[in-house]
Amino acid sequence: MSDVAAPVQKPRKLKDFGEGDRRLRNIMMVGSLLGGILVWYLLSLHPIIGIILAGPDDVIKKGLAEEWAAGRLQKNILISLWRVLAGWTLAFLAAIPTAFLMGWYAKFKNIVDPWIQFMRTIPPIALIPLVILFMGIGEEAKLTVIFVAAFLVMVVTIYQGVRGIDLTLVKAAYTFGASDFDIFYRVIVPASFPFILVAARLGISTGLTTLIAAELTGTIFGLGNMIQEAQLYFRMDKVMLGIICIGIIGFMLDRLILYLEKKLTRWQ
Amino acid sequence: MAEPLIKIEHVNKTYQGVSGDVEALKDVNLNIDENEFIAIVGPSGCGKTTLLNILAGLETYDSGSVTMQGQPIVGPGIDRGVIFQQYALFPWLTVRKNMQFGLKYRNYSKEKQEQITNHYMEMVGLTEFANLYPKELSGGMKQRVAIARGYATSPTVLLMDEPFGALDAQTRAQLQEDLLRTWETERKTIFFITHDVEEAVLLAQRVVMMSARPGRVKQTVKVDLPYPRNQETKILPRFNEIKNHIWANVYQEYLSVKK
Repeated sequence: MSDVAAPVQKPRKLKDFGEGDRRLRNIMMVGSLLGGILVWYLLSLHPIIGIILAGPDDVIKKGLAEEWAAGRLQKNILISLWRVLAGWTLAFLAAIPTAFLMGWYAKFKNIVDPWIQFMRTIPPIALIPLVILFMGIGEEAKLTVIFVAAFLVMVVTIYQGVRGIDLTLVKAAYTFGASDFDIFYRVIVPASFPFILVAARLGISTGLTTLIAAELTGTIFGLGNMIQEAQLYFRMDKVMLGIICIGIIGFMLDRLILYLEKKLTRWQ
Repeated sequence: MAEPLIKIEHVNKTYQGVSGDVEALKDVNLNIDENEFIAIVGPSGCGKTTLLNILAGLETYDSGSVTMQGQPIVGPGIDRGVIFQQYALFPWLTVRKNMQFGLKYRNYSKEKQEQITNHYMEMVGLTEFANLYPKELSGGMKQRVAIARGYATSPTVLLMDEPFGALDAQTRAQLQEDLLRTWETERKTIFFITHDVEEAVLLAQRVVMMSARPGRVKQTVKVDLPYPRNQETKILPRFNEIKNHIWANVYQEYLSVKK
């Protein structure tokens, strides 16, 4: 007679908040997207929902084909992308020194901070009448709306990075004989570098989400405008096309910065 | 008698807090000789870190005088190196670049900088880790880098603020021995803060006991154990005698803090 192990209760697997197997993860994420498109397609076949919701086939065969052939889609993408990137670049260039000045000079921070905190909660769309009044309806108006929104997000993020610096590092640098200026460019700047990249990412997504608002200041080009126009003529296929284009642009820009982040802050 | 390297005379320091003032140091007097290894022990809140920060020039004091080689200490300087408990390595710099951070403020040539870096990295066994970032090192390795970095700029005195406090027992024993070896060969003045009485007696020539709130020098004990020392020194009866004497005194302070 051989010993038969008594049935043991299987140990409970506890949650470890891991992401699971990498390959399985990728399959699931791609599957989720494809599944979503399938559901979308099926919904569009429904006699009533289908009237409102253009299906993926319509978006490609009608919306995309038409806009692409006319050359409008390419132009709209380029113009919107340019607006977002230009507004974002200006905001980035302004946010870095502002945040560093706030971190370095408490007095500057005390003066600037209330305005930043006040402006932060205002939706960019609410600024449009003022922007049109002051800047007209040209490109400056669009850039201003994107600039304001992206700037506020970025300045707050970078400032947090400057504030959150490990003071021991500052002390250590001082004991080696570093001057105040050395503390700034040999400690503060590299230490807040990861926050600058995070801010850049947040700024890009803010810029894109503000695009529609920016293009409300009157234009005949741009993805935001394309959506608004399509809405007037009830071309839901073009509305969907615009939404998808903005989503894809946002995703690609986000990945690009994420890639840079991984490359540049290997030390983290 | 030669003049002491560092003279601390009648130093007082009070922190202004929201819930009232805290007397961190009260009439502290202490002399530190050239090439001396001196350890400060005392319960937390006895102002030992405050005293170190004052010597480092990182903190001000209210009255009294602190001089080094006759010159008052008015700020940080390359003649005083500091080793922090939390290593304070720059996470964005590799081990080699961390080592060279302070060398920029010495007027050394590039070759000399490389030579010094290599010498001290070899001394603490870091050569093969030269191009790693701090996050890739263990706690013990990080502190080794920090100590080597402290030596590399060749300050007159090294101020160490519980450098081994965050390490596990084995790593700590190893780093204690490494520090003993280095001190026995270079005889650089070391001002060493710890709350570990055994560590203080093992390393130092003189142990200063501080009392808590307000922080003041309670007693100074000479550790008359011969160098070279190592972990086996702890077995000597004399070692335990001194340790117990200090411990009894410090323990009283712990009790008074608890109350």
